Amino acid sequence: MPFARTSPRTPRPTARARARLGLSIALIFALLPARAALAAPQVEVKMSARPEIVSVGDQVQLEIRVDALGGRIDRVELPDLGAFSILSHRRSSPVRFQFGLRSAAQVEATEIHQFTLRAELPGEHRLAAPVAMVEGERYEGTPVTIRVEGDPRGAPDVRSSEPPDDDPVSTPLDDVFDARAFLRAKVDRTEVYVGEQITLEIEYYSRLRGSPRFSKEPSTDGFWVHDLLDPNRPPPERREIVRGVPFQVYTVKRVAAFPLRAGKLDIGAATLEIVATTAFGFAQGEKLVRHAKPVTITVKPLPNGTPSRALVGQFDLRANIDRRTLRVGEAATLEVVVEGRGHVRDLELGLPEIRGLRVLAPETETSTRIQNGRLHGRRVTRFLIIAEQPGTFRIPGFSVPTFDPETETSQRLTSNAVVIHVAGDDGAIPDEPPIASEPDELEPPASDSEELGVLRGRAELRRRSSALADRGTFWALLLAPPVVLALAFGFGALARRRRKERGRRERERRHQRLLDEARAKRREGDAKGLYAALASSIHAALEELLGESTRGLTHAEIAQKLAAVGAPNELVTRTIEELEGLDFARFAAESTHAEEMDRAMLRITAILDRLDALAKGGRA
Amino acid sequence: MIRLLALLPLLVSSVAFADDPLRAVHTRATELAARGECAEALVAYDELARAGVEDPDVAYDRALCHAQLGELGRAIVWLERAMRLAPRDPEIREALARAEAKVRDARESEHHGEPLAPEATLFGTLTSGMPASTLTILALVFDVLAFAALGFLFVTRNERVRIGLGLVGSFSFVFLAAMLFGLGERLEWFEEGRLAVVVAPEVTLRAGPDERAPGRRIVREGDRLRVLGRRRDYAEVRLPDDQRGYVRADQIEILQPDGSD
Repeated sequence: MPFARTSPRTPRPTARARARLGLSIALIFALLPARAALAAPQVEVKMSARPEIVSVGDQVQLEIRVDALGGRIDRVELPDLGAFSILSHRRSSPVRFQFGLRSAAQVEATEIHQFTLRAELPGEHRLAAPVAMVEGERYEGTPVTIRVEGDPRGAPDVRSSEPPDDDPVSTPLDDVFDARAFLRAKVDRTEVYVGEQITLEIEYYSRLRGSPRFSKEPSTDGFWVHDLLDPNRPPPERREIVRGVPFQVYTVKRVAAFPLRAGKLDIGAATLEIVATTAFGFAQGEKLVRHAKPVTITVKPLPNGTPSRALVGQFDLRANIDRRTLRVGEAATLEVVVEGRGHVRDLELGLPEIRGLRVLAPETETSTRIQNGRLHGRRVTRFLIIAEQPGTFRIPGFSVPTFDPETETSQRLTSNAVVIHVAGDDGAIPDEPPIASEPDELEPPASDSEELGVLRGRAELRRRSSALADRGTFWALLLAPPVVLALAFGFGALARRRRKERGRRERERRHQRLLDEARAKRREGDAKGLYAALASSIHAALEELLGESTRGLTHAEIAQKLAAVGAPNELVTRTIEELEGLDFARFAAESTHAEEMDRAMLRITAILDRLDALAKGGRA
Repeated sequence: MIRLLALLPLLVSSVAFADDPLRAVHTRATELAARGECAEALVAYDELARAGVEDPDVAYDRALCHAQLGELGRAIVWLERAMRLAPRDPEIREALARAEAKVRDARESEHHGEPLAPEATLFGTLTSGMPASTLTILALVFDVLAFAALGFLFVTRNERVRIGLGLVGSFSFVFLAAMLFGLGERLEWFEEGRLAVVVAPEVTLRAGPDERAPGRRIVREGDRLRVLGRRRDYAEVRLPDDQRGYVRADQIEILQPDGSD
């Protein structure tokens, strides 16, 4: 049996299989978007603030969190936090993997920004939505609004720019304000008596990191000053908002100043140099110079009747002696203490000569202390008294004039008199009345200069200059205005005269031209032209005389105006007749005769001469 | 040229600090005065005066030094000078009044008459609160105003403007005259001689410039007189009551040195 050759069997797709294949492809295409959707990362951007309502100076915790499942976070764009100070910022980005039963492992990326902020400016601050870029795609979160209220607690470290009414007097802010750093001089009062304390503070307002240094110390000319700042214990800094800008405020100078003389005195002008540094203290190379404007103090003299050497303030005076009974040759120490609130200055006390006692030159000791920002002075004067004779001696009390600026009263402090008993070699004290010195009270010695005033000690050292009024310049300047005025008048008159002269010449030239024209017409035998030229000449002369055109006027009007300018009647009549004659002659046959034309020229020339003379102010 | 430019800051600084030696002298004078060593302080003040310093504060301090030494006449001289430089300074004015009061008291206690002083004039009193420089500037301002008003008065035709200019001109002329009179008083234009103060306790007014010339009168510390001229060591003077004579030049001091205000 022959075998039939058969080719290997290639299964041919059946219609059912083809249909199955087509369905599969269609399913794959149908599922592709779903698959793609499954691959896109799931991103969540969140921002939260806690709390959302705060006061100026309070802290806010701000967290920005980006979770991206199945994608990589390229970057996170943070909102502007300009209204807050950033106290701290922490960034963390943990990565986690998720494993599913039917799916492959998935990456979950997270980026967290945690801020600690301090609210600086009151108001509603809307923080823009944070943006995360994940796998090139942009994902946006939601904005957050933080309300910052004014400081309800009146926090001592943050103040508004305008000082309350009872605040010390400062230099006007407009004069010194600078958004980066500025200096401000401040005094506790602007009107004081000579010798009364003023407290001056120089405050440095800064938004910079840097080391400030005085290149010019605050001016205190005319004052005795005492530094109130302890270099080892600088005053605490504070925060203050000035014109909406938060500043760190440092007190860089605080002094007690005592004016030495009456009048208007300036205090507090200073210059500070600041070398800006980075957060790590490295110099940035930028140097700023800031100036403090001075404050003007009105210093009143001590009231009438108060000695100029009076101590200003509230003082006590007492005198003590360590031994009241001595033997001849022994010594006792008399201690006189003046102390109180105010400047004790160079108070000098002295003892008069007392027969039987020898008083050595006193020792003095002055000390000061600060109490509640006020200077308190203490001056101790010690007299060593040596007994030279037995007896009882009375040392009178001391008297010191004072003036209390608070009560505006003057008084005289007095100490008790001191009695010393000196025993002789035998130990006996003579029974005699005490030997007293004169006067009964001891005042600080007043020299003539003290009675006149207090030494100033400061001066601008102005140089001698001769008085301006004694110099030639003064007289030159003083004479300049009248000379300038006289010259102006002179030149004006000259110009007017020249104008007049020029006008006169112009007139003469014009008359001459018209006459020349008339003569030319005469030579040509043109009677009409001649008479017309002569008429023009008369009108030109009349215009010059009357100051107006006479062409449009009637002869009667011309006559009237001529009479008004003082022309003689005879000239008026002749002029009018000639004008009428000239009008007539232009059309009359006999006027063409040569003799008649010559006569007319002569007559008209004579009239013109008279009119010109009248115009020049002379007689016609 | 480059060298010159390089030296420029040095030159500028040397000019700027040219006052430093004087400042040192002044500090020394002040320290001495504060310690009461007024004789030594006056030596330093003299040095300042020789260097051309003419400062009201220095004059005032120097006056106090003279007072400390009991030289009230010289104290008055320096206070007068200080007041001419700073007429509105109340402290100087007060110190001068006190010095004059002390002179008066001293004379009273010795039964001498009132100090001799020229009578104050109206314009002098009216303008006493103004420094000469202010008077000078005001005089120039009123001068310009007055003549400018006069000039415009001639050229303007508007009646109201003319009335205004007339008023401005008239007042300016009046003020100009007042300022010039005040200046004249201050700078002694109208007076014969220069005002001086007797600085010695007692000075004999003599008929001639000689020690042997007969004495006419005694003038005392603080008296004011006018110096008409110098003859040898004597100054020819005229007293406020018009009596003339000669006194020793070193016993008086002219208030206003030549050419200064």
